[in-house]
Amino acid sequence: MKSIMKLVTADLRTKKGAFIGIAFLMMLIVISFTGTVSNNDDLIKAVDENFAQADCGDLLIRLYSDMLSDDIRDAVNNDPHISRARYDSTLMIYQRPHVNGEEMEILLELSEYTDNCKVFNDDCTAFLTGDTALQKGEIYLPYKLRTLMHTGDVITFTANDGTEFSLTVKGLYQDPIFGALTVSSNRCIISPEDHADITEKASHLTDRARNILACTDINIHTTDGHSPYELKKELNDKCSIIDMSLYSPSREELEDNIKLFTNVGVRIVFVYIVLLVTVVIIIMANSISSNIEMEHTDLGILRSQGFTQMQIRLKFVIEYTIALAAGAVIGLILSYPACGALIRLFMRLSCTLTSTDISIGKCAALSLLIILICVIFIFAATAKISKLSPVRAISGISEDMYFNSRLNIPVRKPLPLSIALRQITSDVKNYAGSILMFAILIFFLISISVFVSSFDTDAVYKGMNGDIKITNLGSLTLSDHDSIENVIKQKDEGAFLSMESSHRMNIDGQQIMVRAYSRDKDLFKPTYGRAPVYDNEIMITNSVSRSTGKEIGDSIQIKYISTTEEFVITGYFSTVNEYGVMACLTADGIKKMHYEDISECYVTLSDRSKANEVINALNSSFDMLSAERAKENESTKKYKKLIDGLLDIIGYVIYSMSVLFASVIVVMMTRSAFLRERTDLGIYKAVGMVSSTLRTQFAVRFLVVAVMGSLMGSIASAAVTKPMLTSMLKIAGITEFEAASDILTLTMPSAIVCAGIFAAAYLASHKIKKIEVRELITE
Amino acid sequence: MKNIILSSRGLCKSFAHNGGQIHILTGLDVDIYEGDFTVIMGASGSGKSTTLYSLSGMDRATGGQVLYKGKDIVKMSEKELASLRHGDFGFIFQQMHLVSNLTLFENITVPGYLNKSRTASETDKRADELMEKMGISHIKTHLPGQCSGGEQQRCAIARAVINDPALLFADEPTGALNKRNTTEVLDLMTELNRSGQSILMVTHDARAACRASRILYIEDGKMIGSLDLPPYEKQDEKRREVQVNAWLTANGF
Repeated sequence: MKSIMKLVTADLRTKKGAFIGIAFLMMLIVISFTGTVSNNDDLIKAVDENFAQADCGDLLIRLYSDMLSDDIRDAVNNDPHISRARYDSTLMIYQRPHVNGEEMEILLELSEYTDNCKVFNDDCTAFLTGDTALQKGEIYLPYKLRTLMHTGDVITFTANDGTEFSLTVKGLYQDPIFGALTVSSNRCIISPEDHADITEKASHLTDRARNILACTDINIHTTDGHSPYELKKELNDKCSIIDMSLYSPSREELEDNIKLFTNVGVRIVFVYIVLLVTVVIIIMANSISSNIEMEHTDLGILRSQGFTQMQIRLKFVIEYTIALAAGAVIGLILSYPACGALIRLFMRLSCTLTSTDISIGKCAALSLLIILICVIFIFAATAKISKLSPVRAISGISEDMYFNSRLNIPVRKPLPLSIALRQITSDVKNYAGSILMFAILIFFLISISVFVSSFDTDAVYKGMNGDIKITNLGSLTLSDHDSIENVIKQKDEGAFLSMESSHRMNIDGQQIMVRAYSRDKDLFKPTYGRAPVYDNEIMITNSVSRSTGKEIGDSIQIKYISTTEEFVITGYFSTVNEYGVMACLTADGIKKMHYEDISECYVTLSDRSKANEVINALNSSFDMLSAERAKENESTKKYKKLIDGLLDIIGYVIYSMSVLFASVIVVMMTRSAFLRERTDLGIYKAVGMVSSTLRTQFAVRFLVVAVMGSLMGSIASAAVTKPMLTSMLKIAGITEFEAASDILTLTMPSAIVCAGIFAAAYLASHKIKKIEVRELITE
Repeated sequence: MKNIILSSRGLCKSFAHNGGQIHILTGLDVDIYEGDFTVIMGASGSGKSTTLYSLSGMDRATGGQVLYKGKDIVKMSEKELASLRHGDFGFIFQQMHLVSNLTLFENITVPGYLNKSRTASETDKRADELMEKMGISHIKTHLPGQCSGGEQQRCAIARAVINDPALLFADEPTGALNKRNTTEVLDLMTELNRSGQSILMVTHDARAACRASRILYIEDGKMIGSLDLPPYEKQDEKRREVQVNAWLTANGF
């Protein structure tokens, strides 16, 4: 073993370049996954802590306080599966607030300040310690509203009786439960005095106008091991609490919403890491193959001196393992600042302040796993050592690394191009690996480009939209669709109407939001199975499937008031709405439940200049509706912009990492080719070629390899990117990823990588200048 | 009166070694004449190969001058030297040094394509002629690794003369060949010289030196003697060998 280690030490000293390259690639891989894994772990830890501090139970039921009867309290308080229940009051402001006098297109909720409230410092990097209690007239905003309002802004709204409430923004706080950007609630914190005053002026369900409504959040802790989904059924059977609730997410569903984007990030990075590890394995196999070819005499000498082929193979394994391990260690160390930056970035989405700790144990274990996988491949790549004959090697007889192939491109003018092509075609096996590596990188870069440019934030905040919003003034139903659309078409022939009818219905004992669409019935596309077509079909989310235990093909019972119907599950879909607990029927299906009130209604125009005409026609023709130009919700607009910006940053980071990765590979490959071809390069110089021509030949060769890789990568991308991204983004409710297909998105990654590779190969081949023809001299 | 094609004055060549300097050539003065088959001989380590490489511009001298057509090769740029290598000079190496993934035909044509005075098709035609002359036309599509040493060296000679160089340099061209191949290569070089090709060859083989019209003897980086011989004739070979061996012995070879 000592003798092997001596050889290893000598090789590490004399062949630093290859090992530094491998270590660098490993370092990039480790940084990539350490940041993401640690970010995910830190978020999970922070969410757990926050939920514990907020005393968040296993089930959260929100219902209007007017509905919270003694019977319900008794049912909850005496349920044997409930260990503890806490009742918190929240005020829902059903009125667009004015901020500094300007109406803002958002809705707010108000909760009372408690000592658990975590208030951010000015730059949102830590929580304030000491007294953060609010005075009367002050309000803390959730972190996600920081771009819409600022400290000192004055928020005003009025109660039904005309009492105006004015609250001054004091700062930002961390909403541990509804704070994530993916949750539509904007829960603010006010002083107990204000809370009492506003509660006093709150409307009641019996009032015609309801500016403010008091709600109660019931935080339920189940007894050990009892399913919150089962509990929901049981409670509903007892007191119909779920039927009456506004929503009733489980803790798991609440947590999933906060972790949504980090979960998507983990999936993307997982694919990225798999591809990068594949590339590293290929480059190591190439490097080992070159080493064996170039060192066959030395290896033959070792065999002749009594080294077994296993000992020589072990030498390679140890060398590359040291390089990989060194890269992993450096990667882990450098992950500290990288991880901090990534965590800050994701905080904008999760709105949860986490620590910047590295999951050192998990990441070290992952690094070890990657090294082990690589070791297996290194061992396989050294197999040809067993064929090495000491006599042949020492005699200088080696298998020529080139072979005569029908693929060989004739060497003609222009020489740099034809020699470059010849090098590739006469060593196809070696360059095939290189082409595959570039194909993998290009495939991933195209996928990332497509992801960044096509990611539809509208799809995350999925909802209906159009040019004109129609508000239901009381009696608008799905059956009015045709008559309203006729009026619209008289003004704009190409316009159309979209209606949504939605209501909570009792599905298999649980109160679940059921939606149906007059036109956009496929707004939610199925992840598995198909969307409902007939009036007895239903599509449900995975959460509903999990809580009801029903699968595709099963029948499920829906109850609404006095109607009970059986529906067949045709498919699953994903959504971030309603905490992922939702079902879709056809328009006829929901009518069958004797419900067809319209909750959302939009007109999409073919000619937007006719908007006013259409609005006037609708408002004058129908009493049951009010039409106005559609405005995008301010907070949603900001969130979309934020997500788009973040995606761009993530895209640029992955892009930069990949180009860096590709450059390192090119430098390694160029170096390896340079060593193998050193004599040939000397000969070319001896017959009159200048260094610049030879360097151009080198660069052209790698450009050709990169272009071929790009073609392969592009073809793979065309076939795989869309389903791959769709599969990754199902979790975010995007079940049919609309991949961008514009030329720029598809060709830009290839162009950048090819240009980068050409430049890197040209720069890396500078050593050609140092080759002296004298090296050919045999004294 | 013969014309001087290449000359050196005070040619020096040193190498750095272990922090010091090894002086191989220490002020070499030599004239090479047009049309001559000049051979440089000397003991091992005398600096004969270094002389050849310094004179041909393959290696840059550390001092002195090498004049070719009135220009000092020592001071030439890389581009000028490259032009000299594919235009005016041809070179044959002891180890052939053919590009391993080019066919014999391509090895010959590549320097030809660098010569702008010929079209590619003219170069191909010239390469075919040379391969025919060298007896390797039947293996023109073979890679060097598929050929014998003699075939490779004949290919190297064809490559060296593809651009009709003014001066052909040869460094121990028979050093790696067996007896039969050595004779074939020497015959080819003699034939080339007869057709007017100036040749400067380094060898330590007295038999190869017999083909020369002029032999220079180098010792410790300096020329210490020269021997002029009549044009080579096959029937005179034995007599020339005796004469050359006697001269070499007198010089301490």
